[in-house]
Amino acid sequence: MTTMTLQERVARFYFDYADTLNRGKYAEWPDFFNPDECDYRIVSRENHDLGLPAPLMGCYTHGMVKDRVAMLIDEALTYRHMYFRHYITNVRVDECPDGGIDAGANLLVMQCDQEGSASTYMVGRYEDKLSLREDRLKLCKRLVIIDSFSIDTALAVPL
Amino acid sequence: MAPLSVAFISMRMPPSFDKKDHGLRTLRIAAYGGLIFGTYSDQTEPLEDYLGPHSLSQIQRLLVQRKPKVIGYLRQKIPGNWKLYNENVRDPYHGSLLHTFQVSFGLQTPAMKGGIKMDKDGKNTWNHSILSADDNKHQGDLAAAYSGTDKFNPGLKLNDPSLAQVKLDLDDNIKTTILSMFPTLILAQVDNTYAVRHLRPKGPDAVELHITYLGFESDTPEQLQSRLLSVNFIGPSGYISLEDGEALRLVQEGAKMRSGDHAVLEMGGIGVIQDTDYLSQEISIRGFWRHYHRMMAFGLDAGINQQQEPV
Repeated sequence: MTTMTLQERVARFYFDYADTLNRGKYAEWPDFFNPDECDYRIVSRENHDLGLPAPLMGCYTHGMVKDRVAMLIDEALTYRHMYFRHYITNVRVDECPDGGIDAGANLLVMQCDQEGSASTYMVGRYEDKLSLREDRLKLCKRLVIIDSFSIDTALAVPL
Repeated sequence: MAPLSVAFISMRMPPSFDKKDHGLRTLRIAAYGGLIFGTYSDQTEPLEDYLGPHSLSQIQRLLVQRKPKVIGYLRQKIPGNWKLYNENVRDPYHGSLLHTFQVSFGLQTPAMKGGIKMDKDGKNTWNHSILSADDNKHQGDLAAAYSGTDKFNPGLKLNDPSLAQVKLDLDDNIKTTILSMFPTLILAQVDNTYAVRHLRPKGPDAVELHITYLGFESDTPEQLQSRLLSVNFIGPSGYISLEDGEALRLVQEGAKMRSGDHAVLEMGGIGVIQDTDYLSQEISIRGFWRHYHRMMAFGLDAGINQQQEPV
């Protein structure tokens, strides 16, 4: 296998992340985050543009990231089970002088119900900070900014 | 772009046409505690009489004694009728049947103190639960009470327990407050989350929730941070609230198949519509429907509960 550029590595990392969620492998989702430095928020475009701080979902430690999927893994939440499919495009990666990585991408999530009907679930973008340690990429910070902030029924599964 | 009024003048309207006769319909408005209410009716009584004493005291408690500050908006489209949401916020017991998180971490259980207080019409409800010294003991008894269900899970543990270790920031021990004001306004406190929920009906099969999430101007940075954590209880991704959207969707799916028919599920649902100091009842739902029927001038169905109480 040829050596991948950082751009290609981050894109592959994003695709693996999406695949993990789309396959419902929630227990593996926290592994994409840096255990020592971890901030995951889903915010509406409305609040983000107004400078209002409340997120839709906010996990400020690695423990909270694990807790976000714990009830999905235990099947302890009542929510509509849909098939999700992430489409991640416009991946942009910048190396920072401090050795960190700034990255972002556009996000489209389609949903399909149990009858096989598809609809758009989410439109938005990722704004990330990543670390590269021992040759592994991890998210230190992931901000998911949702343009389609009037949520269809519920947002149970992270984006 | 030319202003609209210019377009009207240039259209050479007949002399009898007076713009003053074609304005927007005037809305009567009144405000209390920073909430602005409006009605198109000339018949509506003064606002404070319409709201009733419990609404007024809870608005004072939640919105007036500290100066609120908007910290975010949350929006949720629920594929259910707006009246189902009104049932959801009025019944004080579904939380302990539906919300595993709420029961397992002792946020609201059927054994807690609390109750409902209504206005004179039964249309507005203050639904609340109160912490008491017996809660820990009752929490221990829940395992037996919930055996055979999957809604109490004492094994549920948080990797980061800070979410469930909230100390109430008002010292009145009121753990949850859901104040429902007919027809479309809810003021809610769940632990230290404070929110105004406004219902926008979207036809018979859907309602959109506009939630204004509040902090207070006196909040310390730590208090603000704790609100940004507690938001994980509420809204479309809240460990508690996200389940309500699904519950409404399921009820709507069932109800809309039976057009022209009606179904009532009652939990001892007869007798006088009155305040209670316990949580396992549904009296304020009946208060809501009685008022709705009066407003809509619906005739009473001969079969329903007429011996007990003229509903």
